[in-house]
Amino acid sequence: MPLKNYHKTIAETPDDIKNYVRDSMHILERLNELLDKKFDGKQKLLAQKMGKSEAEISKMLNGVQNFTLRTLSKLSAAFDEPIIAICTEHEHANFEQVKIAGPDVKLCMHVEHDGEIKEQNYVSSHSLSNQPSEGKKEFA
Amino acid sequence: MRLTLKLSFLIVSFEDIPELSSELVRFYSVKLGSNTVCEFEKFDALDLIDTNHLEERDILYTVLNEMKWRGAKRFFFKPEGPASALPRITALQADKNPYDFGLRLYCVWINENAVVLLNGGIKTKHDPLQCPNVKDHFSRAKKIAQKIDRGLKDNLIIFSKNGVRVDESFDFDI
Repeated sequence: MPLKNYHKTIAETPDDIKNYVRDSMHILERLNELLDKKFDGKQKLLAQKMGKSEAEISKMLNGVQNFTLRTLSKLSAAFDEPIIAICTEHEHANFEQVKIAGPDVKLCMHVEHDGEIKEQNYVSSHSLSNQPSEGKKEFA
Repeated sequence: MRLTLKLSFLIVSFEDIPELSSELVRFYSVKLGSNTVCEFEKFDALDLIDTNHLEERDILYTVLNEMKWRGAKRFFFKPEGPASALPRITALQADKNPYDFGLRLYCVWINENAVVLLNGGIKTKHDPLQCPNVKDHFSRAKKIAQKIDRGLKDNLIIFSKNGVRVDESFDFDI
């Protein structure tokens, strides 16, 4: 199928636009993941928790690209889980997990029962089985 | 009194879009009647140069490209009645022009592994049926979505990893 503009666009789209789309999609995925996990996928329950109408929540979740930090903070508090992570070199930064989301690469960590990370390596997602083996945490 | 009923149907046939598809998601389009070009090819050929919608196409195509490995999750699509539209993620700057609602690509979301991309354009009215650019694409998308839905319910259309199969007994027309 001769999709001239598709190929040209994919080749020439500036990095900032690609990052914008990826970040927006990451946030959409995270919000829906948390909505399922904490509120059984029901916006109505999230609305009750936040003291807002269902329409307001729907509008909020639909306008993901216009999220302010304040909105994200409110949602994060309602879910009682973080939504975004900040990359920092601050010496007191305390990351328990590093999630690398990408088409081909996953970060695998072997975690001991006491939480110590024994090994970590990047592998192609195609070479991973669907079910991580025991003792191995897989992040994607 | 003699009543003449004029029936005009467009036969619809699925087309694979291998350029967009991956192991996880298969994208399809449709050919209408005797058209040799499928609907998504027509959308791709839209000339957006000299418009302020090039960035929107960048975003839309990046979204499609990302779905290759993320899957076609339902929440990446805007519900449009029985059909859907892209992009859900829109351009960075809000357009102040009240007659410009941005680029729309109408589609039919089947599941996380199958999407039928149709046609679209620059929407100029809040109600798509009032917009000369998109009203036909919007109406057609709804009809195609309803038809596919019926086919899926009756097991006469089956989307699988190997592609789409339409039973011979199914009248795929709009």
